[in-house]
Amino acid sequence: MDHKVEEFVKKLVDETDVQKEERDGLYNKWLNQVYRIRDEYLKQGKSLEDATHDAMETFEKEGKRRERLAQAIPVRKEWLVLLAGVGFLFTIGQYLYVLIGEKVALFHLLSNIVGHSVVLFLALYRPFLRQRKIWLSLALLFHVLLLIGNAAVHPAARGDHPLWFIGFGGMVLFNVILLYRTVLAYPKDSRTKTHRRILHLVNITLGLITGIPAVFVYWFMIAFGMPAQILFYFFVPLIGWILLYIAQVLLARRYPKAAVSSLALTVIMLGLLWWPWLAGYFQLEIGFGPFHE
Amino acid sequence: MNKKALILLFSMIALVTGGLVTAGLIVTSEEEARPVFTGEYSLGPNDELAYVIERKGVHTLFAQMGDGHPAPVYQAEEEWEIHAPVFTGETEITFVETTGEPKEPPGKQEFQLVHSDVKTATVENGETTTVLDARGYITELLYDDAKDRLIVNGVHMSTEKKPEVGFIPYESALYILSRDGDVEKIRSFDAYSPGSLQITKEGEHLFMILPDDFEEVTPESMFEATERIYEMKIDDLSALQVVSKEDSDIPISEFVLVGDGTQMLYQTIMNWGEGGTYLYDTVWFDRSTKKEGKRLHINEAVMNAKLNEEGSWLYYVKMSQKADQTRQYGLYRFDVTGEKKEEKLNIEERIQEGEASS
Repeated sequence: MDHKVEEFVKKLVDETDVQKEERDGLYNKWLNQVYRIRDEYLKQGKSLEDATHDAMETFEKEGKRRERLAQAIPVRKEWLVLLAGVGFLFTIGQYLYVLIGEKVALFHLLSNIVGHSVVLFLALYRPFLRQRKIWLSLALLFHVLLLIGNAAVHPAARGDHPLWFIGFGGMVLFNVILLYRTVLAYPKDSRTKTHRRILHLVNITLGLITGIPAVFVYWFMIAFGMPAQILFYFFVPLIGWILLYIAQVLLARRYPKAAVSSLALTVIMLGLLWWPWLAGYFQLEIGFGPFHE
Repeated sequence: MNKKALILLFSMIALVTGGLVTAGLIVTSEEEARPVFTGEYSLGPNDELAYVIERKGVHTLFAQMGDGHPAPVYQAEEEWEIHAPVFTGETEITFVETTGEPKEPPGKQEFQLVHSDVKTATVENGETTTVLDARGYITELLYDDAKDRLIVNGVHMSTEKKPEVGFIPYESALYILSRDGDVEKIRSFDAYSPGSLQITKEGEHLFMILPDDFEEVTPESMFEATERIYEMKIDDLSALQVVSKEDSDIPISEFVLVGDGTQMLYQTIMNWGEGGTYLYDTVWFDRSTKKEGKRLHINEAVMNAKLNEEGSWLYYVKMSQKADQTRQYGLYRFDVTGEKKEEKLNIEERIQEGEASS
């Protein structure tokens, strides 16, 4: 009978994307859970065969399966450790380089350490989070935005060292690859995985290539004397896009095709980030500065 | 990884971060206590130097006479800045003490709300007299040795007690300031302020850099204007003549008169129209032939250039930006006749040495 349970759990573990070295731990954890459920049924007076059968069914039905999928680790722990490790070296190296060379303390650079630490924490401490895929995606997003933001605040901090460009460019690229791998990883048996992958791929790619440049352009406009109210044109579409993205993810679980179709709205919403310039191009009145000239 | 190892690891990260912050704070406070050259200086007839040093936000005027250590001459009040020092005697320095350029962005500045005083201090005892107490922003002082008077360049300068209310379009003007504080306006300029003011030894001609649309400025013309060197007779305001090449559209950003003024050294752009980063250099210019001569090969943008009395050393300031985008200035001199080329005058170090030895 135990052989049956072991086969059942092994099959479930095989379905996940968990790395080889972590499969044993997961296997033992789930096996114990099934046995505990079986013991409950045995106490209720069921036969060993019925109790085993029901325990396996319950394990699947009670949502443990969802938790199991959430536990699936889409990227190798070593990669995350590598990203965080290189990040620490890069941030501390850059800080000390400027501190010693120019006697200037760029304290803001140290905020990168928060990003590296969050990635390192999620890489090393696994049993903590139920929705680890979401948390890891957010951590990687936070990490890359901090890197880009800090590099943009004081352009002179780049120095003129080619190592800086190699380090920075390499880290951003590696971070984005890990972000895609995390978000696009789904269990093999997921029926909606293709649609959900398209959903994330389009949202993240468009979000990065329209959102980050938009931040810089709006910032420049304000630095050159435009009123701060112009940020209205930035935040409204941005919040709209985030809400739309969440709605699409929720919708995709049941109506994957409808969710993918709604990507047209995503394009419109992100396009609105550039509304002042589009309006200027099409010579539309929107009420601010030079755009309607 | 177990919890204990994780706690240990992240404690170490926190500790290292704390160490980095502490190191940063120590370096920052040491830097704040260090004397920093503001880029303002003057050159005396025997290569004496007067320069402004800022420390912990306070400006101090130093004089360096001969080979001695620099000595403080005047310390400005907190929040006030010392600008445009100029030797007005062998041991006398005149300078502007101002509340500084208005903090608003260009186009919104109300220059009439700032204060600028012209003061004279003697090097030996630091005795100070106020020559002029004015509103507005004084950008430059020039000493007319022949007539013992000052030429003042100011934006919205006035001696009225109450300022005009509201925004006034940018306008600068040149004034003659006598030692007893009498002010006489020579000429005003819309939208621009003349730069690199120079005066001939007899005190009759003024030289300056102005964009060539200064007489009729429009928003469109400002984008196409070329900075040129002009000569002006102080007694004849109508005669503002172009000195530099009239057919050239390459801007000139700095110049000095050499000798009687037939020769000049001016800074221009060497790769104009070729694209890429501008390459600045200082070149000789002959006024009679209107032809450029040899380059000095400083190969960098310089500001506040002055030629010493002998005509052997060209002094200038180089500005650079630190990683936190604060500006730092260095005083240099260039041997225009010999082989020594450029040397840096480590005035900040000399002040620290002087303080250490006393």
